[in-house]
Amino acid sequence: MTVLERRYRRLLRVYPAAHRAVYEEEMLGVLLAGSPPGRRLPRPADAFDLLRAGLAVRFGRRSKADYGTAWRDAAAVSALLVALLIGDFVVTTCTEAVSDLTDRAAALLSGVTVLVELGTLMFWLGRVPWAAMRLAWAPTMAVLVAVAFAAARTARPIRGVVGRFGLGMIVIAVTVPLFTSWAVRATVLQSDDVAVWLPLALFAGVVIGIDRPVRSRVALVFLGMLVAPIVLLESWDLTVMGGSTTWVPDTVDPGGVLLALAPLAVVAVAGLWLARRFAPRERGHVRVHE
Amino acid sequence: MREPTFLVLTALAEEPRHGYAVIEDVATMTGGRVRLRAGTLYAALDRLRLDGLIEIDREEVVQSRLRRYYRLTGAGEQALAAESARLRRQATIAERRLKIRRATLGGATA
Repeated sequence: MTVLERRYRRLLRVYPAAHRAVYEEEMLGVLLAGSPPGRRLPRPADAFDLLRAGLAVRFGRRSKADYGTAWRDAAAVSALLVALLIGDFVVTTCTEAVSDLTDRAAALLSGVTVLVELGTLMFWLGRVPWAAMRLAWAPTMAVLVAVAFAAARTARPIRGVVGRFGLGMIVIAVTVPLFTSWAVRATVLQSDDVAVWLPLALFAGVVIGIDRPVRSRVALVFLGMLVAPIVLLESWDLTVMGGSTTWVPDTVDPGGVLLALAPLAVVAVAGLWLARRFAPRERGHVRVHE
Repeated sequence: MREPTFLVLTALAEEPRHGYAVIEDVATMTGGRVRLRAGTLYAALDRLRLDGLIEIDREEVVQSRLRRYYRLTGAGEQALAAESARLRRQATIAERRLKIRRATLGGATA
């Protein structure tokens, strides 16, 4: 980051956070494009114009306006949290997230998670067929994660959304499950405490620390991504599968397998549709008001 | 409609443009008389977006920097047409009066 960029960034803080979330990077690009190379100080006229316009937004009627990008930031954070949560069960992938917590690493993590979960499914398929089908919720969540990352391509960097403290908590949440076996041996904690509840509590802390327009949306999207596959699979069982009370039927026919996996397709289609709606590169699919 | 707003809409009437391209096009159109500054430009873009006169066409990342292209909506097209018709009517009145003035005053001003 050049001296000039840092100074413009500081000037842009005059705008409210919600406005910055949408326009900061773009405005910086315009400001820097209009500056000759080697310039270190913002042009006074530009600085004055920014202060005037920024204060007008801050104290203007529309300062409470919603900005669509907040949803994209929320999608990025939620996707990362869900991916990490699934990843907690797959401790080996966690080290990747610790080494580099950028969007790319998180996207990679979601990809790894998809593969691992599909692998798990295949592993169980040969032994207890129906149990393998019950694992469909994991790939379903993985699909949601991938879709959320696709929709969040131009969101702010996650580091910027959650802050340094939030990033620290994420790193701890990811590291903690590494010590599951030790903690359980010490009989202080249950396996679930370390692998699920502790990370969840830390994630809640991360969400609380996020700035306002994004915070409530992360809460919504994150919970939605966790709950939606379960609700979908449960209602699928009750309606389409006839609400069988025995969770592990003796025989599994191909039709049953297809039906059991169908929710995955539903989630994929719904997810792609949503991503199209939020995806920035698609013509006319970015809504003005969210 | 204030002049920067009118000029931004005019710039986007030709093709979708990103912020810096709008600034340059406005400067070209006005022969360098108007050079929009970032604060003014984004105040106009934000208001026009909220009013539904423009919308995001696409986003690109150029040299790791976000570049957002805006385009005119149907409502924006109507607003620009109405505003340019209004300006034309006023300009016509002004020109007619100047012509009459020159005719009645004859060579007095020459």
